[in-house]
Formats: sequence, C-alpha cells, structure tokens
Amino acid sequence: MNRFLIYLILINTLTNMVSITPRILIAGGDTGTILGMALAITTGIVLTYFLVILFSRFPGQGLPEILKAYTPKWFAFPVLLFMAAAWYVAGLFTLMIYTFIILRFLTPEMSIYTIVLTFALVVTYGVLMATRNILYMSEVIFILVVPFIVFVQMKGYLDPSLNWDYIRIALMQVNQLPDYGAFTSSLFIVIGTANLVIFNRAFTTLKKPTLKGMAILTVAFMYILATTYLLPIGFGGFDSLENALYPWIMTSDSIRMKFGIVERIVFIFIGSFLALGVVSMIIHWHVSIHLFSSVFQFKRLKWKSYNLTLPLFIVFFWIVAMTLTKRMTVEGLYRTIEMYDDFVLPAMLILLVGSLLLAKKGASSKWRENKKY
Amino acid sequence: MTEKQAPPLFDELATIFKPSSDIVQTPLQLKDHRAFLFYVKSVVDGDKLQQTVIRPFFEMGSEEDFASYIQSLPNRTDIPDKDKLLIKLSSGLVLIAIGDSTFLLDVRIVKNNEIQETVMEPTIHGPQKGLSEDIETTINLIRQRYHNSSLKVEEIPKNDISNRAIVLLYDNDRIDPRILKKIKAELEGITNALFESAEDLQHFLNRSKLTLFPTTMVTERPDRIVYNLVAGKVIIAIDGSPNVIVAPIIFFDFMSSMEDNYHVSVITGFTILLRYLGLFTCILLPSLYIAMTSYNPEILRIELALTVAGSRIGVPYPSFIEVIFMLFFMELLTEASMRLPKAVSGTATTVGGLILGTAATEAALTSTIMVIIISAVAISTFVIPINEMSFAVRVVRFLLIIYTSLFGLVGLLLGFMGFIMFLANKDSLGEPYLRIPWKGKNAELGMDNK
Amino acid sequence: MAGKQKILKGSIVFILLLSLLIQAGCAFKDIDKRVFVLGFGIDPSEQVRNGFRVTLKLAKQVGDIKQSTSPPYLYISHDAESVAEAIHEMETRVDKVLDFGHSKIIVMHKELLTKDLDTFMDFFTRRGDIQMISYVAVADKTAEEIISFEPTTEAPASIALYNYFDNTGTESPFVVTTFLFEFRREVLGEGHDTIMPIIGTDEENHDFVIDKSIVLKRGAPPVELTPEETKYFNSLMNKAYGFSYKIKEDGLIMVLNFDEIRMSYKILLNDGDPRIDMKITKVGVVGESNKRLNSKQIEKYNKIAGKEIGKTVTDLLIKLQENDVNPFGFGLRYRATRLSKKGIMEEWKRIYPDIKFNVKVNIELKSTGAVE
Repeated sequence: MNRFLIYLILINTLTNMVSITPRILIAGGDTGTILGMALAITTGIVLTYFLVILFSRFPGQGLPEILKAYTPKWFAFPVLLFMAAAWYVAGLFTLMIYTFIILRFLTPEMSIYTIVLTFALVVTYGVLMATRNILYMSEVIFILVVPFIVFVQMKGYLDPSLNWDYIRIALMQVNQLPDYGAFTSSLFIVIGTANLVIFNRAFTTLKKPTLKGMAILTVAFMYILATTYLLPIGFGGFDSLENALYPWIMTSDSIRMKFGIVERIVFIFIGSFLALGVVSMIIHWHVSIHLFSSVFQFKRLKWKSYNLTLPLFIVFFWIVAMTLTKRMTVEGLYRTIEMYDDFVLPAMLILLVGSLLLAKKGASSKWRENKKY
Repeated sequence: MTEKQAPPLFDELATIFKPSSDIVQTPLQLKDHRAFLFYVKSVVDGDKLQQTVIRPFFEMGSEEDFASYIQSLPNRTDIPDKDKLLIKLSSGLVLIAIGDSTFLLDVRIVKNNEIQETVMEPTIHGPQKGLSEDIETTINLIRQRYHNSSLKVEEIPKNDISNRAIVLLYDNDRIDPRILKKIKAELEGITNALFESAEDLQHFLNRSKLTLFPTTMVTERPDRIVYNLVAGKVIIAIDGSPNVIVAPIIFFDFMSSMEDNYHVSVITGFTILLRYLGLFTCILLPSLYIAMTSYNPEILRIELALTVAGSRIGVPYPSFIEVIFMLFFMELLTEASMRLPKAVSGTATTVGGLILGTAATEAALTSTIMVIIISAVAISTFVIPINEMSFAVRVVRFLLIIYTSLFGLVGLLLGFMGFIMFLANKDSLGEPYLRIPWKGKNAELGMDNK
Repeated sequence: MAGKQKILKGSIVFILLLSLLIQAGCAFKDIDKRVFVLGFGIDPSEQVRNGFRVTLKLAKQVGDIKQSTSPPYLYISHDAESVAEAIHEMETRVDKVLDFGHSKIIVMHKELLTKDLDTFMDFFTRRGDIQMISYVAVADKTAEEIISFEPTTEAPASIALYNYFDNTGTESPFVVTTFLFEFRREVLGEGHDTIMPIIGTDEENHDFVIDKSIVLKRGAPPVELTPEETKYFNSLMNKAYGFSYKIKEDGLIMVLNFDEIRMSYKILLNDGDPRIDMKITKVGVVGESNKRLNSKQIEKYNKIAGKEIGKTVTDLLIKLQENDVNPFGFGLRYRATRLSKKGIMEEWKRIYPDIKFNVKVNIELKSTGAVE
C-alpha cells in the first residue's frame, strides 16, 4: 500500500485525538463507547478497503473527473457540492478547535482574529500548493511530529500516577449496547481514506490494498482509538472527566517529565498536534477548494493570464471562518460536531461509495460500448 | 621570392584582430617551400609550436610532406566557419596555411589548469583536491574518476559574449532522459549575455527572480560529482570556473557532506544527527527565545525562567529587538570575517565576538542568556555543510523571528511549518525539492509534470 | 505557475506587514514584566464571612541569582469571597503581571476540607494555565504560615517545598505526593479517596516537617494518619523507597531497610465472608543491629518481621475501614473487576464496612549488610 495513503489516513486519525472526539467518547462512556469504537474500527477498515479498491480503478483521477465522465450532470454537481461543503466544515472544525485550545492554554490574551490570522497565512499557502507537494509535506511533518506524540503517550502509559483501575472500569462497560455518537465520531477518525476524492489525482499507480498495509492500519486504528479514549480516563478518572472540555490537554498536562528540558509535556503535546492539525486542515481545505472549483469555474475572472477562482474561494473560506470562529462557543462547537458526525458523515460516506459504484458501472458500460463499435 | 603571398583569409583575420598587439602572422620559408602561421601569441604554447610545427617544417623535404605531417597531428581540428574560427583563434588555436590548404592546430596554453584545493567543502578524509579552472582539466579529473563509456560529455553551444564552453556530463545509463531534456531546454532558454562562473549560471537556472533556496548545487569536489553522476544527475561545467553545477538537487543533498561516506556507520549517523540538530537549532533557537520570554515563559523550568528573568533586568528593549540586534551584529561579524584578509579576520572575530558580547551584557543592552544563544546559533549555522544552504537558513531565521514576534509560540510553530511547506512546494527541474529519499523506494506518486 | 507564485508571495508579504501594524504587541509581554507565582495558600477568611484568605508566594527577580544572599521571595495575601476575586484584587497590588504557569503547590487549611471543596478547588482546575501536576497539600497550621515559611535550607530559585514532592530531592516514605489531577479525579469520582500530605514546621521554626497525611472523602470528616501509618501506606501504594523497620525481640534490636516493595490484593466475595487478600513482598537488607547476626538465621528474622509488619498493615486497614475511607482504592478495584451495572457503587458501600482483611507479608532479606 502506498505510504502516502497511510500518512493521509493516519494524519486524519491523529489530529482528532485532541479535538472534540475524546469528549464525545467520554460522554458516551456509560453507554457503550467501547462497542461503538470496536464497531467503528471494523466499519472503517472495511470502508477503507473498498474505497481504495474503487479509487484504484480510476488512477490519477479525482472524484470530479470520475463523476463528470461517468455519471449524469444532475447527479454529479449536487454530490460534489455537498462534499465540498462537508470537507470545508471538517477543516473549519479543526481550525476552531485549535483556536480555542490556543486561546485557552497558550496565549489567553491574544485576540481570536490574531490567532486565526496566524493560521490564515500558512494554511492559505498550504491549500494552494500542488496536490502532490501536500503529500510530500505531510510526510515530512508526520515524521517530525509522530515521535513526539508516541513519546508522550509512552510516557503516559508508563507513569505511576496512571491508575489502571479507571481504565478497567471503562473497559468493563463492554456489556452496554454501542453508542451511536461514539460510533460515528470514531468513524470520522478512521475514515481518512475519503480524502482520496481529490488526492487520488496524485496517485497514478494506486495499488490494491495489501494485507500488510491493512494490518498496519488496523493496528494503528486500534492503538490510536484506545489511547484517545482510555489514557485520559486513566489520568482523569472515569466519572470525574465528564465535565472536562479538553480531556487530552488535561491528560498531557498530568504527565510529568521529571528530568526533561521542558517539565510540562503539555506544550510538546499541543505543539505536535497543532502541526498535525494544520496539515489536516490543509488536506481538508485542499479537497474542498478543488471540489468547489470543479463545480464553479469562473473563466472570466482572470488577472494576467492567471485564473483567480482558487484565490477567490480561499478568501471566501477565510471570511466565513473568521466570522464563525468569532461567534462560536465551545459548547456550540461540541454540539455542531456531534451533529456533523451523526448525520453529515454517514450521508457523505454513503454518497461517496454510492457514486463511485455508479461511476464504476458507468465506466464498464462505456467500455463495453466502445468495444462494441 | 614573392610569388607566394599569404592567403587572403589571413589578411582578413589580421584586420579583424587589429589593434591587438599579440597577433602573430608569420611566414615560414625554406628554399622554395613556405607556410603561413596565424595565431594569438598570448594563448599559444610557444614551445609546443616550435616543437610540433616550426622545427618539422625545416626538417621536412617538401611542402607536401609537411602538409601530410600536419594533417596527421592529433591536435588538428577541422576549420569551422569564420565566426567560429575567430573564437577558436582567440582561444589559442593556430591557423596554418600550406600551399592551398589551411589547417587548424590546437596548441593552446592554459595557465589556469592547476588543480585547486577544496575551499568551500573541506573534509578531513577523502580527496583533498578539487577541480580546475580549465574545463579540459576538469573533465579530465572527472573522467579519471569515472571510467565508464556511459559517461557522456556533451558541449552546449551558447552564444554569450565570452564564448566559453559549457559542458554537460552525465551517465547515459542512469539519467532520466526527461530531466536531461529539461536541463537542455533550460540552458538553451537562458538569454543572458555573460556568465562569470558556475554560480552565475546557476542563478539563471533557478529561473524565478526571487529565490531563497538554491535548486541546483555548486560543488568543487570531484568525489561529490562522481557520487551524483552515479545517482543519475547532470553535471554542468563551465570553462573558467573551478566549480560545477549539479542538477537536479533536493534539499537533503545540501545537508550531506561527502565525509558521510568515508566514516564508520555509527559515526556517520552521529554526525548526520548533529547536523540536523544544528539546522533546527540555528533556525529555531532565536525565535524560541522570543516565544519563551515574551509569550510563554511557563514552558521553561522555573529555575531557568527565574534566571532568564533575572538576566533581563535592566534590558531596555523587548526581546525581539534584543534578538534582532544581536543577530544583526553576528551577521555583520560573519560577513566581515569572510571578506577580510585572513590575517585580519581573526582579530575582527575576537574584537567582535568576545569584547562586544561581554560589553553588551555589562552595559545591560542584552541579557547574558542572549549572548549564549547567539553564539550557539552562530556555531550551529556553520554545521550545515553546503555554504549556500547556510546562507538561505540565515535569511529564514529572520523571517521566523518576525513571525514569532507577531504570533508567539504558535507563530513559531506555524512559521516553521510554512518553511517546510515552502520547501515542499519547490521543485528542482521537476524533481520535488523536499522529498524524503527513502532507500529503495522511488517515486510512488505519479510524476505528472504538469 | 510563476504568476501564481508571484501573487501568493506578494499577498503574503502584504498581509504580514499589515498585521505588523494591527498587532501592536498585544499578548506580547516580556519575561521581566511578569512575576511568577510559585505557590498558593488558602485559608478560611477571618474578615469575610464564608470567604477565603489567599496567600501567594511570588518570585522576586534578582539580577544575579548565584550571588544574592536573601531568598528572593515575597508574599501577598488577600481576603475575598472567592479565590478568583482574591487573585483579581491582588493583581492591582503588584506592578507586574501575575503568571500562574509556574505555580506548583497548593496548600490549604485543614478546616477547608470539611467545607465545600468545589468552590475553591474549581478555580485551579478551571484555569488553563495552572499545572495539573501541581502538588496539593494540607497545612498543619494555617496555609499562610506554611506557604510563607522559609526553611534554612532554602536557596534562591530552588523552592524547598517543591523538592519534597518532586522526587528529585529528598525521597522519604513519610512524604505522600498528590498531584492536582489526582486530587481532581479522586474527589470527583467514587471508590478511591484522596490522601494528601500535611505540611508542618518543626518547633524551632527551622525546617518543614512533612510526615503526616490526611485522607479526604467528600462529605465525610477527613481522617488523619500518623507518621507511622503514612509510612506504611506510602510504601505499599507508591512503592516509596527507604522504608525501614525496627525489630525488637529478646534483647535483639535490629533495623531492616527495604528497597523493593510489591503489593497486590484481591477482593473475594464468594469464598466465605467477603474479604480482601493482600499479598506484600518486601526485599531488603539489615541496616543496623546491636548483636552479631548469623546469616543462616535470616529465615527467622524474615518471619519475625513479616508477622509484625502484617499486623501493623492490618491495623491500618481496619482504621481506614472504621472511618469508612479507602485511599487504597478498593472500591475502584471492585468496580473495575465487574461488568458494569447500575448501583454497583452502592453495592460496594454495603460490602466495605464488613469486609475482612487477610494480609500476608513475605519478607526477603537479601543479606545482613556488609558484616554479619
């Protein structure tokens, strides 16, 4: 399996560790998070497998190309538009969460505008990069950052203050029926493959998933999801964590590096995840902006032979992001993400698989027709 | 006696070259056979001319014998058209007219063909000699290290004023033909009138006007050249420059020293690690100081935080001015000691580094911690093996300082990511600039060069 | 492509310059304009009804820390109805910004434990910049006295109180360490009660004395443990080093030093009466003896010590049980080993008061030290 595909999936998975996801999981703690997660991993692996197989039939093509070629226009355009919006919102969530975290833990005096502006410059550049270069960039960041994250987690697992009894209590909830909220938000974590809708353009030789690749992904999903949910509980308690807004930040602040250069691990942790978050945001918005521009292409809007559609979209993106981030509250964000995970995500996945199957059918019938004549 | 005049071509050439005083147009005469020589004295090897042309002339019995002798000399070349002929003559070829036929002999003397010491990339192990300013010698040096028929030496015709030779060297079996084609197109596309050196040519290859990071590498080490030939890269040599250009190149090539291949694996690993730590230190440390002192002092350990706070007592400026101020002097110092004669540069460094540093802290212009940081940064900048990269890094450092002063720790992190993105978005002749070169794994992504 | 690059670069430079203008240094605060809070002391207020008296330990900035003579700390106190109010009012009393990021200890008055903890502890967990790895402790006298007490060993930039708890300085089995996150998870949760160190000073007012501890359960009176009990508890729960034990028998006085302690327990409900089987293994050497010892008799000493220690541990467990607290976290273990169901903790609360303890101690003396 292509290593860039694995980065694409794992970055999406890791980014959600500090976001709202652990809070949703912990909120569902009494009502079957464990089974929900297990179910999500299975679904995620199966979906990943099928998506990769489906996309490998259209090498070097993104979803817009595939749909435009093999499905009717009335079907393709709404689907693309819906997906573009879904991806934009996913990126927006990341932006908001990190803005709130920075505001809470790093620079409480800074204005939200300034924080968003910090992102704006870098993310804009990233989003407008070539698809292939984004993948190269994500590999570099992934390799720079993941050792720190693994280090923090290992440090956490080996900490004597970690009380395994709390974790066992969490595991003992296995007799509860799976929680839908926990299921969908875990599913969101493991479904990074969906980014192929645009990134498939860079994979001209996407191979079918190998057993080794799928095994790596399964292990990674299980480890990450388990850590996301269980480590905060081990540090923060099973019942007492429910009102924590950022369980993972609290957890990483509970881990102490006695002899480290920095005693408080939380800064290393926030830094690492911020880097991943930015990459994930760039990936999401890159997908979104290309989906949007596949629907609306303003041919007239030109400045010195360069089409201004993308910059126009990005300006639009930031204006929306700025206003919404300013208005959004942490609680509102939590509710919105819950809604997104519960309704938009499943709808999107069904649409994606459905449209790909349709396209596949279209492709094979076209091929047959060509053969006939 | 005067029945045989110099050919009209000779007179014509003489008028073109006038009033240069080093033109020699001389007839050789013995009894009734004669020959005419035309050359530029200052670029022709007089002894060789005497040995191979003048003496045989007087020893031969007839004009025909002499003509056939000249004909068979290894350094004879064909006569090109007149424009080219002028270039050839001015580079040290001799035109000989015997009877009706004219010959062109290469008896040039090259005074700059000694092999240079390696200056830019010195190593302890490995070859100590670099290339030569003479292109023939350079090619000789490379050929002598790469005995393989697949090594191609291809001259690129270039119409700049100085008419110097530009030569492409590559291993035909290993190179990606697309890259070769691209480089040739690039070279042909250059319309500049004059190249002074390989570095100069490199700037034109970089294409866009505003560049920070070099996308081709200039090197003087024959071992690096051979290493890159094997890796399927193209070497561009230009006459008169002791350096050659290697293309395409990626970021990690700038971080490798040839000595990496000469050490034991663990030592190599250690030095490489050291080098990357140095890179991160010299980019991040000054900005980290700003972020830590002015935005998030809680990251530091309490003891350190108190020490830093204590040492900043009385410093009148905010941390970023302090950093920029000190870095500015450090850059001045580096620049000065590079330009000064060797005898003086030592003094400059001492005065600047030691005295200025101590005095600045004594006068409470900067904190003592700051002086430590600046020295650490200065040292780690020099760890980067290729000079051009360390220049680029020095600029990046300033940009990062600005971004950090504006946005704090988050700014530092995002600024650094921006730097990585900038590198990742670059390409060197179609080759992605910041791609991790895993061994045995080549491009998994479609190399669609749109 | 080149055009795109150009626009991008131009706009980035433009935005950067623009933001330089707007962002005229908000959130930018140099380190010498901040004053670091090193610790909090919280007492019940005598001036404000139902209020708190908050004392802060601040670090004064000293130019040259190595040469300064007096410990560079200063203390300010304020009374207010809530901690946050007190802090806000104190901000007007210092010329610099209070920076809580470095505070690592929270000392509270014993009386406050019986009051509603939430009202003041909430402040610490709610603020993002207070470390979750702060130590939580109880003052023997008033918190103000403890937090502003400067022992003779205290050096500038090295805070004595931190050294007791952070396991880099002294390591004594008498000192229990409780972090803020542990405090939070145990106070808000059920089945595991918090234990906190009690900080006092010695009679001559030279040094801190930290050898007692207090077990806190929400809604119940706190239980104080004696130094000896603290030592036993700490060595079992936290595997604290330096546990020593004195045997007196037939004129033989012997001190044993243990450096490895293992403890495991099981809650058995179906095997007769509900009971907790606790297995303790201690590995150590003889530290001091008034008689010549025989290496062959080590087995005997093992048995003697094992029996004695077992008895003390059982006494401790029974004392905790009688007061209905459990800092060992038995309740948690009970819940952790059973599939979830409603009312599981109520079930445990019924079981705990009658549960039996069966302590088995296994002593392994490695040698009699360097001599017989």
